[in-house]
Parts: sequence; C-alpha cells; structure tokens
Amino acid sequence: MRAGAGIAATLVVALLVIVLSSSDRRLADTNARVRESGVALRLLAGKRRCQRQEVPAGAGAVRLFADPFVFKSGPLEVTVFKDGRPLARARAPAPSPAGPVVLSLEPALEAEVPDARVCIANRGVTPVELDGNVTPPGGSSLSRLFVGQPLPPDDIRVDLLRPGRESWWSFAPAVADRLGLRKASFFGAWTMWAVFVLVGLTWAAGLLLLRREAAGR
Amino acid sequence: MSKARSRLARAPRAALVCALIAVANGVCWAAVTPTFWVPDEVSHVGYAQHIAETGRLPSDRGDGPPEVPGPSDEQNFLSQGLPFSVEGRPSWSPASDRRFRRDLEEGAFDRSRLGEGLAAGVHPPLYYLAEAIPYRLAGERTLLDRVMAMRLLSSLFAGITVFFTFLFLRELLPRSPWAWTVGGLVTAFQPMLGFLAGGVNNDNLAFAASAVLFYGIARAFHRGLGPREGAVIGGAVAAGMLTKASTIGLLPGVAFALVALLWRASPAVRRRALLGAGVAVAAAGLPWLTWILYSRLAVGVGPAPAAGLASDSVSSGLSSLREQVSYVWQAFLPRLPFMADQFPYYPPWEVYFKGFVGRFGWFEYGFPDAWYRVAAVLFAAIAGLAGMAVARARRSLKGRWTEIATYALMAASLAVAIEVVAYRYHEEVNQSAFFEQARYLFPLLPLYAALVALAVKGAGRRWGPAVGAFLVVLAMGHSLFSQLLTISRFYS
Repeated sequence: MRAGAGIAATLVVALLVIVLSSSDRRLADTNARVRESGVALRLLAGKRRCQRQEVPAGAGAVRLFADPFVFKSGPLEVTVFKDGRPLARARAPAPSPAGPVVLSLEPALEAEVPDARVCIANRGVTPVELDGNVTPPGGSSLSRLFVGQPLPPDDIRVDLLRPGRESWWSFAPAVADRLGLRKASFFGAWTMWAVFVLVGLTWAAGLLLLRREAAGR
Repeated sequence: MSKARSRLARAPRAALVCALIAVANGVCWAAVTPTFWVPDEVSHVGYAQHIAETGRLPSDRGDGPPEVPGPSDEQNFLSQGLPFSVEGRPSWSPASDRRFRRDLEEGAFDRSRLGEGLAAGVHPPLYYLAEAIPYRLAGERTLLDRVMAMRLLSSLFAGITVFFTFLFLRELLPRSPWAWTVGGLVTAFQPMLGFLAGGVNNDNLAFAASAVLFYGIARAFHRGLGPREGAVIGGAVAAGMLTKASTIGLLPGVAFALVALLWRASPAVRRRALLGAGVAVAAAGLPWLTWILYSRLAVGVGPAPAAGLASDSVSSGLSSLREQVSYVWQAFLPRLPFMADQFPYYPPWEVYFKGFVGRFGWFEYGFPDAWYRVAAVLFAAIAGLAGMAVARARRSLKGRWTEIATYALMAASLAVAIEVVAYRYHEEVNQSAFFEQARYLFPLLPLYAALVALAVKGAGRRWGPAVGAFLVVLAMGHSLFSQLLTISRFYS
C-alpha cells in the first residue's frame, strides 16, 4: 500500500511544485468580460479613445489585443488619468506584430485608482484595430444577456498587469485577496487558505483511512 | 432520533469518513467557485428562492402577474456584477466590491418573481423545497449569503451519494472491504462531483437518490427482497423522480430487478418478496402520483414535460426515428458508414470522457489535452484490471447474471433516455447546441466506484493494496488540480 501511495504522492507533489513554480506575467485587473472578443474597435491615426476603468494598486503594465497585421502601424500610447491629471503613461514605439502587446506603465501605480480615465492613443499614421472587452466571438451565442438584444457597446480591452514575472507561490496572497470578493459576506482573504487547510484535512483523513483498512486486511 | 443515531453508529466508519470527505470537498468547491458559475445555477437558485419567498411552486402562478422570461432585478444585479458572461471574471477591485456589496444590501429587490427560475420550472420540486430551507435559514442576508447556504446543502447530498456508493460496494463485493474503501474514496474525490456539489443544482439530489437506489437493489439481490429493501428502492425512485425526471431512465433496470428478484425467490420467501416488491412500487408510485394529481388539480396543469422526456410535440416519422437512432448510436459508439454525421466532434471523448475527467464552469475551461490523454490511459488500465477481476470470478458470476443485467440495463436505459432528449433538444430547440453533458450520467457513479473496486480486486492480493492506494492518491491530486484550475481561471 505504501509503495502505491508513495509513487502517486511523488507524482502529484512533483507536478504541483512544477506548476506552482512556473513564472509568468500576472493580471492585476482587466475590463475584459470575455477572454477573446469578437469585436474590433478601430482607432484612427492620431486619434485617442478614453474609457472609465478601475486601475488596481500595483499595476505595472498594460496589455492590449490587436490584429497583428494592422497593428504593425503603431505606436500606441496609454495614459491613466484621475480627475484630469495623468498618473501613469505607457508607450509602445515598436510593438511586436505577434499576439497581444504589453506596454510598461511609468510609474507603476502604488494605490488603487477607482474610476480612472484610461486613454489609448494611436500615434501612428494608419488605423489600428483593437479588441473590445464585452462581445464574445459570434456575438450573442454565448451569453443570454445578448439574446434578442443589440450587442453591447464595447470598450477597448485593457488588461492591467502586475510588474515583472511571478510564480504562483509569490502571487498566491493576491489570489487569496481576490477569492474573497463578491462572495458571501463572511468571506475574505482567509477563505482560500481555509480551503487549502480543508483539502489537507481530507487528504489526511483519506490516507489514515487507507492505512487503517490496509492494516485490517 | 435515537434510533436513527444508533443506525448511523452501526454504519461502517469508513463509509462515514468517505462521506465526510465528499462533504468537505463540496464545501471547498462552494468556496472556490464564483456564484452562478455552476451550470444553470441561476435558474435553480431562482426556483428555490421563489418557493422560499412566496410559498408557491413555479407552476402555481397564484394571483400574481404572469411570469415573463428573463432575470429578476436581483438576479440581474448579481449577473451584471459577477458578471454573468461565459468567459467573464469577477472584478478584483476591493473598492468596486464594497460598492457592489453595499448596493446589493440596500437594493430593495422584488423577490416574488421567478426570473431565471422559470427555466428550471420544468423540474419537479423536491430539491428546491429542500433548498428553500437554507435559503430561509440565512435570514435577511444578501442573496450571495443565501446561495452559499444553499450550496452547503448540495455538499451534504454529495456526502449521501458517497455514503450509499460505499454501501453499494459493500453489498456488491462483500468479501473485499479494501475495495469498498478505495471505491468510496475515489468517488469522494471525483472532481466533477465536487464541483457540482459546490453549486445549487438539482443533480446533487438526483445523484444521491440514485446511489440509494443502487444500494437498495444490490442489497435486495444479496439479502433477498423484503419490505425494507422495497422501501429503500421505492423511496429512492420517488426521491429521484420528484427531483429530476431523467430518473425515469433508471426505471427499466429497476423493473427488471424487481421481476428478477421475484422470479428467483424460493417458495419459502416468495410472499416476503412479493410484499417487498409491492412496497417498492407503492413507495415509488404514490409520491409521484400525488405530485401529478397536485399539479393537475391544485394548479391546473400537468407536471412539465421534464427536460422534454414526455414531450409529444416531436413528429415521430420514420425518418426522424432513423435519425434519432443514429444520433443515439453516435453519442456513444463510432459512426457507421451509412449514418449521417450528426456531431461535429466525437461525443464519447469530448462530452462524456472529458466531462467526467473535468470541464468546469459553463463547460468552458478544463485541463490541457495531454491531461485527458493520460487519464484515458489510466482509465484503460483500470478497465483492464476490472476485466481481469471479472474473468477470474466468472464462475461465481454465473449465478449473478440477473444482478449484472440490472446494472447494465440501468446504465444503458439512462444513457439512451438522455440521448433521446438530447436529440429532440438539438432538433427542436437549438440546432447549434448539443444537450448532452457528462453530469447527466452521474447517477451511475456507483458503477464507476464498482469499476475502481473491481480494478483493485483485479490487481490481486499482492498488488491490490498498492493499486488501490495509488488510485486514491491520484484522485486526491486530480481533485486538488481541478480546484487550482478553477482558482487560476477566476482569480488570476
């Protein structure tokens, strides 16, 4: 019994360590209500488009999604305003044509900026098409909110990223904070840790039961 | 009360531990999954809320205005704030969360409307009557708190499912206690069971009723059919039928079991068996008939054609029948050359296997493909070991063919019933969508546990303990990774 449990536990723990140790850019917040938008919003050359958005504390970069072919035109500039005052700016002079574009915010925002005004400007000479934040591919097929309704007006999808690359170990406290939001009133940052303790208890109970039953064979 | 307590004390401790683990697992999922992110949760909450707030069933309109489709104000507020979009994430801004909570607490929402509960109105009321209790117990708290209380009750149903699955294994393999424990634990850690148990969905009670039913039938085959076994079988059928009409898919197997049990009863116990069968039929039929009569007499309408099972609106021409047979075939088996291709994917793999291993939320996130391929290899090994156990015990199984046929018939008829509904849904309601989901086959979870238990037996006395422990620890890891996947989906 011990051999079987040991082999499986080694596999599980090894996979867990590999997954949780992997580093990547992590989201601080997003206005996306879909993962991949079906609507492209055109930003003409020299024009700027502004939208209201929560900007969380610790936002160090902005990620935009654009058609790579069109986006080659660039550059793009993103500015975060509060009460008409610019708080941070990001600029991509020569964005990569492949995939989403990440622009570093200068300076990184230390405090949450509720109801900020986020402006995206096309400083290039050709139009840019950026993904919207609400309408899923296929328009209304996925969300019942859109059935029989005109499609909602999209903002430009703006992902705000935390500075640098992080492993899940270092990112976990932020995840714990988020898990308690928009849940039952007694939930909080403690909830995720409590879940892991409970998971640990179920594992312990399961293993003890196995051991007891194996001994009684 | 003391009688019930003493009965519980006599239950195997291992079964209780497995059940508690399933409950705890459900509670973890309830905490991790955002509100309304378990399939159809908004509709199920709406149904139970309507009962709790008005004391009326959805079919009973009372004196109020007729219900119109669409969410109620409160459901809409939550949907927008969570948000209710298939690929949406809740906002992570603490300031926005404070505003959301304040508005939810201060909003004077009219809770008498069914709203999205209208969509769940096709289901019988038992689960929703039960869920109205935690809803009421949560007092004047917000709907988020009430949903959490309702989710906890669903977790208890998962505990009942696992408890009776364990007892089923005990009846099925009476000389293999180790296999009961392994089967019970693997089921308790099954991630899709946990995910559903962490949400408000009538499937949870349907699974529990089905597990009791499997236990009752196995007990009747092994200890003889008597009034107690009849009461368990009939009560489970009644609970299932009053929860979800798809339970009807299990009934051919139940009927076959009762006939087989009567047929093989010796003259000395035939009278007892007849009494048992009578109790089973009465316990199953009377509550269901009462519900039908109540619906027709008190409310004036028949029970809704639950999930289309009783729908007579479908033309039953030969061509439609041929297509339907072809559809059901392709849902589980490779398409034959003369059949039209009715699925854009291979359902046994995409729907049933991946859905069993884990597709969460509104089926829009799951594991990387490699994970499912590894799981397929593992399941093939489990099936192989189980096959070895069956081959080894083939002589003793000769005397149990009616029991085996019962379980096979229950599985097959449930699968066919679901696919018949799925075909009708696809043809009549939404041709761009497919109805079938792996969870609709979860009433067969006791058979999954039996497969695992047989695999442990198939590994033999020497390797059985190691294989069992290996499977249980792997199931623990599978459950944890499923929860981590959900956490990363919504909070990162």
